[in-house]
Amino acid sequence: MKRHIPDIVLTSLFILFSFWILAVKNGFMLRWYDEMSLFEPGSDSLRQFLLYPGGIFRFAGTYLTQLLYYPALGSCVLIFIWLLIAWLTKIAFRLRNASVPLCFLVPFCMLVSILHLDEAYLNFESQGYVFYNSLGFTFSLAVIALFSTARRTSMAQEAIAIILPLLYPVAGYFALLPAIICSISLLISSIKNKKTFTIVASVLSILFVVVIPLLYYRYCNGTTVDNDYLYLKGLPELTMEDYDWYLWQPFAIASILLLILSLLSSYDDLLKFSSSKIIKYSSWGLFLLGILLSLSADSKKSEQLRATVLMVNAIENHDWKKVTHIMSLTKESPNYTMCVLDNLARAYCRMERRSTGNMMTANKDFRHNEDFTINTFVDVPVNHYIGRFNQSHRWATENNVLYGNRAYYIKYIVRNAILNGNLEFAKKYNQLLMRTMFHRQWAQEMNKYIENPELINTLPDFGYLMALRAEEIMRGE
Amino acid sequence: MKRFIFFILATYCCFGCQKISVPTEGVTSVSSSPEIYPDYTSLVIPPNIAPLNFEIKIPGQEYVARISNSKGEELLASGKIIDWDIKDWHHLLDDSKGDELMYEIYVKDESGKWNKYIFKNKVAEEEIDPYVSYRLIEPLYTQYGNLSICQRDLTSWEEDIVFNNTNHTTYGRQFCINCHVPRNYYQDGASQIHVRQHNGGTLIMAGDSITKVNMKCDSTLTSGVYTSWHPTHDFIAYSTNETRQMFFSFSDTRPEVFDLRSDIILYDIKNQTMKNVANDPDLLETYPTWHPNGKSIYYAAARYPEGVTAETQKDHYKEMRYDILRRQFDPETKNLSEPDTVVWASAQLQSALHPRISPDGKWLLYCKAPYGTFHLPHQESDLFMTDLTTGEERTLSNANSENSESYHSWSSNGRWIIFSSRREDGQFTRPYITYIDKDGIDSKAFIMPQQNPSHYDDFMKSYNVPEFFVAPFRFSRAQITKALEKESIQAEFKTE
Repeated sequence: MKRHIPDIVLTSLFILFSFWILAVKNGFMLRWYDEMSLFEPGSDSLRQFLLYPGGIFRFAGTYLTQLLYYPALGSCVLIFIWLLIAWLTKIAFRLRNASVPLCFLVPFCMLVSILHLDEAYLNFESQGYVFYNSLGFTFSLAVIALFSTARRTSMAQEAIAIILPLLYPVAGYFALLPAIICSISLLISSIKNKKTFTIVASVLSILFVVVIPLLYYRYCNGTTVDNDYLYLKGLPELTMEDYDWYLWQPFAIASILLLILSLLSSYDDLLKFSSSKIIKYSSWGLFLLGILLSLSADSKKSEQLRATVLMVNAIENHDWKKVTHIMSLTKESPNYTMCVLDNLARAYCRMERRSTGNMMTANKDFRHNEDFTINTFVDVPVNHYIGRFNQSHRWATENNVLYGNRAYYIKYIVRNAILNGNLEFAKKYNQLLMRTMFHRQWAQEMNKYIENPELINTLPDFGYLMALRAEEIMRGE
Repeated sequence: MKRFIFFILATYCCFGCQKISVPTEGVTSVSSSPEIYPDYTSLVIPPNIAPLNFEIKIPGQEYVARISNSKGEELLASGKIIDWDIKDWHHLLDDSKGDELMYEIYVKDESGKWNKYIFKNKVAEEEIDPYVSYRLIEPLYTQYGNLSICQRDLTSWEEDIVFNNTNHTTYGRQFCINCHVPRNYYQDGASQIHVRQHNGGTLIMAGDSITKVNMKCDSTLTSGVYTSWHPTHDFIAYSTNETRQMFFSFSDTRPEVFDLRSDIILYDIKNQTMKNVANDPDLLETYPTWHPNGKSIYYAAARYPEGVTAETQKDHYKEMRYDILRRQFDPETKNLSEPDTVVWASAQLQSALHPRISPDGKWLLYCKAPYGTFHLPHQESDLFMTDLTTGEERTLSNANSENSESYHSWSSNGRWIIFSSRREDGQFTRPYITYIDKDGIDSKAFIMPQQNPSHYDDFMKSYNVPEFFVAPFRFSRAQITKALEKESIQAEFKTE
């Protein structure tokens, strides 16, 4: 029992910290990530995901993202997956005693990959992002654990190393990473034990790692994979430009960590690293570093982004006073987006509007370009609430097309269609939300207006919305 | 253990082989047609089409459906979703060419009483081309996502991907694909696809090779757009279009698509040269199509209204009206005559687009709406036909709907038309099929069948550019990918 106290302390610390920083501190952001996702059940949707390496994790990830509707629930599931990762890491690399804190390094990387998400989340295909990377690493570690525990005499390890790259169409990068780790482990083992078959198996495995993705790209009909960074497919669709480096870091670090752990465990008999005092202090140090990096990643999100997300959530709930209240609480000077949203709320509260001037900041990098963030935070909701339904519809549609269907945009498409009198069309999109776990409540409410169009004028803020629309019509196209 | 397995097998046999029985006692005949989705009542259907599965929308406890022909052969199915056995269906239709099929739908209502609904469909003598190619695309405006060109076997449920673009969030590597158009319904295995942006070009797939061609040069407005293969010689007519979109905040039609300028060029495949077919600076010429004898070319053309230029056209978009013109063509010399007007739609304050001529050369099929270059968003767009021998125009009143109809293609035997329609919900384009008899009379159109009748309810993509094929597409993904990675051949422009 005494031996297990550090493990219990470690695990408890990890759970409490993760839950606090996710559900308590960033619950509204998690809720936003669910709004920016949409799970579509059915074989058509699954087929589309499976046309991409690692798609199965994205499909599962998109399904689990629904749980973020209740941030505490989604956080618990995430933490459970991370504990699974920690446990598999322990088995895979035979970590014990002093080196146990190292089990939590990959989970910390996954936590950072969520916490450092900022405006970039708006403009990459992020369906299931919050979960699928963790699911992918779980798979990789499960396979490494299987490899690790397989009997060396039975050639099971060699078989695993050879078969793994063949799973590229299904698991993408998360099949290639363990394949490389297993091959390196086999090579080291073969040097020690001088087994020819083992050498052949590891070389074959490396060859497959190189060749299988190329063959897949050329011959798999219907795949949506691009041969640019082919070997990284399954990880998020990011570029190799400077502005995306910070988004890559957690995955790069997690992968390198696994490689290092694999090397260390291969030489454990020499290094005796499990019982080494250096490892004991450095692994606890790394654990604490994980906490600090998580806090640092979370602090990088601007207050403006946080405030904008809160404002947009409040608009969703027609809580106009809350929008103005959020504006008043913000310590950083508001950006143009916030001012526009605030003025919209002021209009609905019959308050005097503020002059925004031309406050748009100069275009930042590709992921943080204000022209783009305005699209999501202004063009879609503000156009809707001033009666420019077609414009709101247009931008919601464009973004859905580019980045995958998102509940946030679908809701505006449905509302715009109802107010335009396109009820069949509204019904079709509303069906997408009806089939989700929690957005269906909203969809059921909208269905009331679709089935009974005479009730449309009882939509919240309908009267004032039509008045604003009339003003806009006077201004012309 | 053996007893258990036997029990399971016996239970399966009992339930699995349960015969469907048609109710005979206490059945009330209802005079109206049953409400089914899709609406497959009162049709003329091809003898080789895949089963027309449907959902019975009438509330009830039990459902039985029976089809029978005049020879007494019948087919049975039960359940709210009527899913015909594909082998039995084809067997029945093979024996029913030219015959009528009687459908009986039995619905047991809440009180336990059976009601019988009847309707008939006719089976045509003429088969439909077994394949249709189309692009699947989400409703969009200027951005695009995953696009795929697919091929559907109309005699079964199989849909294969011919080619698709890739996840394009890797900045700068996105590409668009469209216009999979065959020569002569793919009778000689030749077709083409346009690829735009990354690795862009026109892929001409004929013989054993795929050639990537770039038609954009100083003498052309753009690369080739709307495509028509010459039926007998190695030429392809393309339009070149400077296309724009306008968005309206308040009117019903969301985008208005128009051409600033457009011309028609002729691409010579063997010599890899291009020449002008129609490039009058005062006209917008587009949508070329060849007569099946290859001796004339038809196209849509509109004149800029007085005082209107390309740049000011957006303020006068409702005045843009296209007529259908024809020029005689000598395939040996590639000379063209002066144009004459075949359909003077502008005189009727209409705009006629997409001329397509039936394989027997008798009928000119097109769509018309009050104005514009692109009728898909125009609710009023309907299909029309002109008899090229008499000049008489008629509307396809049985095939048209209250919503937009456009992009139509003839089958190789001239008896079937497939076209794009937005009648379901006004937004998503679905493929509809109609029969044209020898007198040019159309039948009620029906939606391309799917195994799951509710497929179109849940499917969030539109079917674009449907074209009939007589044979399956024969190039592999690897061949197409390799061709795309090569440099384009620059087509040379000839000013003869």
